[in-house]
Formats: sequence, structure tokens, C-alpha cells
Amino acid sequence: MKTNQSDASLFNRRGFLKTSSLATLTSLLGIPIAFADRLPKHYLPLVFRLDDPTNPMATKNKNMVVLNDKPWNVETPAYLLDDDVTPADKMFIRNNGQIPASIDLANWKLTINGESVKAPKTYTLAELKAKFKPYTYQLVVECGGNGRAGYFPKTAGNQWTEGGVSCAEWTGVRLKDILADVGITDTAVYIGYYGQDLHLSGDPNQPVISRGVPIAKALEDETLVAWAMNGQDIPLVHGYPLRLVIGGWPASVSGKWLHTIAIRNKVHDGAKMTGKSYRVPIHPVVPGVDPPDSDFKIIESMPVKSVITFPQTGLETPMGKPLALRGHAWAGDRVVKELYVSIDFGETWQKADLKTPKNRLAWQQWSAEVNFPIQGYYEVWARATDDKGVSQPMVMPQWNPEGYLNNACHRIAVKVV
Amino acid sequence: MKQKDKFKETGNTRRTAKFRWLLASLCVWLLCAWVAQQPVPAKKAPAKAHTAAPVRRTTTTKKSVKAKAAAVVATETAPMDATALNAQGVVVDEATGLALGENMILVKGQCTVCHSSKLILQSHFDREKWVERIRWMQRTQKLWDLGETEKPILDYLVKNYGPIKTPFDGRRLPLETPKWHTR
Repeated sequence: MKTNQSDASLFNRRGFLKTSSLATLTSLLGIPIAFADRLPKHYLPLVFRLDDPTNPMATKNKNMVVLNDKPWNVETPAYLLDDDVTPADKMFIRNNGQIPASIDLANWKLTINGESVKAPKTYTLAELKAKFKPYTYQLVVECGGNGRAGYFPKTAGNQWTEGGVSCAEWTGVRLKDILADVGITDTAVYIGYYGQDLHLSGDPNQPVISRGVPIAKALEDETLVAWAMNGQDIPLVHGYPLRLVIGGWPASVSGKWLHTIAIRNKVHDGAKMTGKSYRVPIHPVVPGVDPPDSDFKIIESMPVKSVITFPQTGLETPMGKPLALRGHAWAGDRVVKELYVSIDFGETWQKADLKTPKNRLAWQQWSAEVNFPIQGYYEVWARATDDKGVSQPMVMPQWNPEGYLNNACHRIAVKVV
Repeated sequence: MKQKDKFKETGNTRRTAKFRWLLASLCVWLLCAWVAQQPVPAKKAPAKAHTAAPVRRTTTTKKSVKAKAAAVVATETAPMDATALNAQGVVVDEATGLALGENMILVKGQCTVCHSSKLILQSHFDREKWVERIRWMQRTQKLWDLGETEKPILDYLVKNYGPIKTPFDGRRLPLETPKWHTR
């Protein structure tokens, strides 16, 4: 992976474009930059990022849905999630800030510190690879707001439909092995990560996101500090060169461009950990009601969910031919026990063939075959049930002000002709 | 002597002047009283001035100031047809219950010839659907060509009897229409 030339030299110490830089840019453009005196600190006008290596769309499937390009938030349509293991070009993108413009691979370090370490310790990438046994797991990484588009009243936030989820194969070392080496005290309650991403304003001192999980989740076998995805370097947009991958919880706990993990003696309070971020009301609310911050609790395990990845919605299929269906199902920290499909809006359900996951916290493949009684318009609905007997709802589930956790069953449209 | 004459003259002038003032004051008072007797115009009535005399006068006062009064009242005139408050507290046309507004009269005049206004009152259609209803009526129910009145009628119907804008109270939005394919 090539490192990118830093454009830091264009800016003066206080963060504004140097006069000389501005003169150069102006001559390149051929006309003055109106409002040049109002350019924010650390901001390089878009027109000069011609071959912006932080543009992730260059290597993505062209049918990915761009929800936002500053910051980058890109969704995978359900039919593109058909692979058992999500490839890089079909992995959804979720960012709260800017992708780092340059990565100093040679000097990359992971620091473990915080109130509850015996002593802080730092590792280079080479040390991590040499000192600890690597593990490879398929892990479901799902955005807490996956499904948000289905809430009414509408909430703020990226309007994911059902494609804010992936299950790639991650390689790295177990966080628990690193922490055993560092030594943590029994005051440890939570971890909090810190990454190299840049705030939208361009201010390098403004944190973007710093979340974490309770220490028990951090110490699970499958919690990885990863450097590879599907056997290759993690793509820059997905966290190169190092990231946390914590399956089954909102993807925002899987910090990218990872340089520090703090072991906290209290619930972590970093950026996007407080307020209403990744939180839902403690007491269920009437749709549209927004209670005060104190009435919210942190989201932990994601709820049971499934997706139909074949066929793509909108299929016209001939009468008399059985229709093969397939997709994936997952249930946060739990396992999916059963998957059912319906072609009559939930009046009757047919059990699908459901496989076991490759490893804990991976998703599970399912398949089914349905027959239609007569020509016309149908919807195929898929509904998973986890190992505690909890199913996906058919309707919009508990509304919450930030639009998280909509795990209503996936529906596709089919016409029998 | 001079002063006495002066006083006499002034006294006479003053007496006449006093009477003129008294008469004028009386006229103005009568005018005000007459104006106060006029009915208060309906809240949503268009503030158009027209020369037609308003209906529903409860009293008539001295005729001598009537002409003047009509001009004054023209600026606060009630609409031509009677209005009422419907169950929702909206002021509507009393006879039909139709919402007041521009072009209501076109709808009242043409649409209630055949069917009750209640058919309109219970409807909540977008423009496309209103057009479809009109065409059906023209095709099967002997509705005539509305000519130049069709557009203002549709404008009125869509504005006052368009789709209900209440929050979605179901528990799941319908699927969006997909792009049909055969893969």
C-alpha cells in the first residue's frame, strides 16, 4: 500500500492555506478563489483532490448505493450481499469523519493504556504479528442504523435499507491475548478505542469517534485486532492498516485506523459514546417522542435479522416453475435457530434450510424453494428466530429517536407471469 | 355700543353655528349607529369591495345616511352566500359544506347539480385521481365538458380535498415499486 503525499505543507502553522499555496492554487485554477479568506482551517478545495486516493468508490461495485460522500456512507443492495463471505468491493462503508489522507505504515503503533492497565504498552505491527497467535474469523459487522429507512416518523441519520451489514473474513490477534500481555487490573470495566480518522472540519484535534465495549465482550475469543480482510490488506476505507473487529454489536464498536485502546475503570465516554449516539430509550416510546438523554441505554448485541440475497427484488418469474430463494441470517451474540419464508404476507410460513455458522458471530446461510398458486404480484418475506425464541417482527419494531435496530423482516417483490 | 352690537352679532352667529354643529354631530352619530348595526363579516370572507348591498341586515336606520353608509360598509363586506362552521370548526359554505375559497362557486354550481356535495366532502384524492373521476363521470354519467372551468375546479379540489396529510399511523410502509427484471 503506497503512502500518500501529505498536503500538510500547503497549510501554515495555524491551519490556514499559506499565501504562497493560495497563489499556486489560484494560478492552477486560472481564476481567483472567491471567499478564499473564508476557507476553513486544514481544508483543501475539492477541485484539487483530483486523484484523491481516499475516494473509496474506485474499487467498489458500481451498483453500491452512495448515501453520502462527505463523510462516505455507502450501502450494499441486498442482492449484492449474495456471497457467503462479503468481498471488499461489496462491503458497505460507514464513516463518521474523513478517511485518513496518509498512513505512515513504517511507524504505525498500537498503544494500550488507560486507568486499568498495570502499565501502558506499545506494539509495532511487526511485534503484534510475531508475538501473538493469529486467528481468522468470519464476523458480522452491522451498522446500528441498518434498516433506519423503514422507520416512521422519519429520523435523522443515514437511511440504510437492509445493506448496512457485511460478513468478511478477518485475520488478526485476539485482543484478550494482547491484554494478557499488557496486564489489566480488576478495576477494568470497559475498553475505548482511538483511531486516525479526521474530523469533517479538518481539525486534527477534534475526535471523530471513540467507542468501546464492556470488558467481557472485549475479552471474547472472537474480538480481533485485525490487519487483514479476506486474506489481503484491509482496504484503506475499511481501516487499513489495523482495526478492531467486534462481531455481533453495532459496527461503530469496531474502530478503524486503530492506534490506541484505553482500558477504562468506568463506561467509556469518548466521542459518539455519550448522548443519544448508539443508544435507545430505556422505556419504550410512542413513535415520534424523544425523551431526555438520561432515559437512553447503550446498544449492545444487535437483534436477530436476515436478508434475501437471491433473487433481487423485482423478479418476473414464469408460472409453474418453483422459485429458489437464498440469503443470510444472524442474531448478534446469539445463533439463528430457524428461518421461515412467506409468500402470502405472513399468513403462512415455510421453513427454510438453515446452515450453522462458520464460527461464532458469523452469519448463517439459508435457502428455500417456493411455489406460487397463480399468476400475479407477490412479496417474499423472510423471518429469522434466534436461539432464545425471539423472532424478527413483520412490522416496524420499537420506534426510537435515532432510528436504530430496525430488524423488521426483509421483503422482496416478485411477479409470476 | 360697538361692543354690544358685536356681542349681539356674535351671539346670533354662535347660535346658528351651534345648531349647525349639533345637526352635523347628530348626523355623524346616526351614521355610526347605523354602521354598528351592520353584521360582522365572516372571518375567511374575501375582503373584496363590491357595490352590491350585503344581505342579512337585521335593522335599517335613518335613510338619510344610507348612501354614505353603503360606501363605508363596502370595505367590510360579507360573502354572497351564507357560511357556517362545520364540525371541525372550519368555516364552510352553509348549503353544501364545501370549503370556502377561490373557485368554490364553480364546484358548487356544476358539481352539485347531479350529486350531493357529500361525495366531494368524503373524498381525498390527488390531482391524477380527481381527473380520473371527472373523466369517468364524463364517460358514463353525462357530465359535460367543463371547458375553461376544469382547471380552476381541479385546483380547488386538490387544495381542499387532496390526500390526507396526517402522520403515517400504520406499522410498516409499503414496499417501493421495484425495477422489474427477469434475471
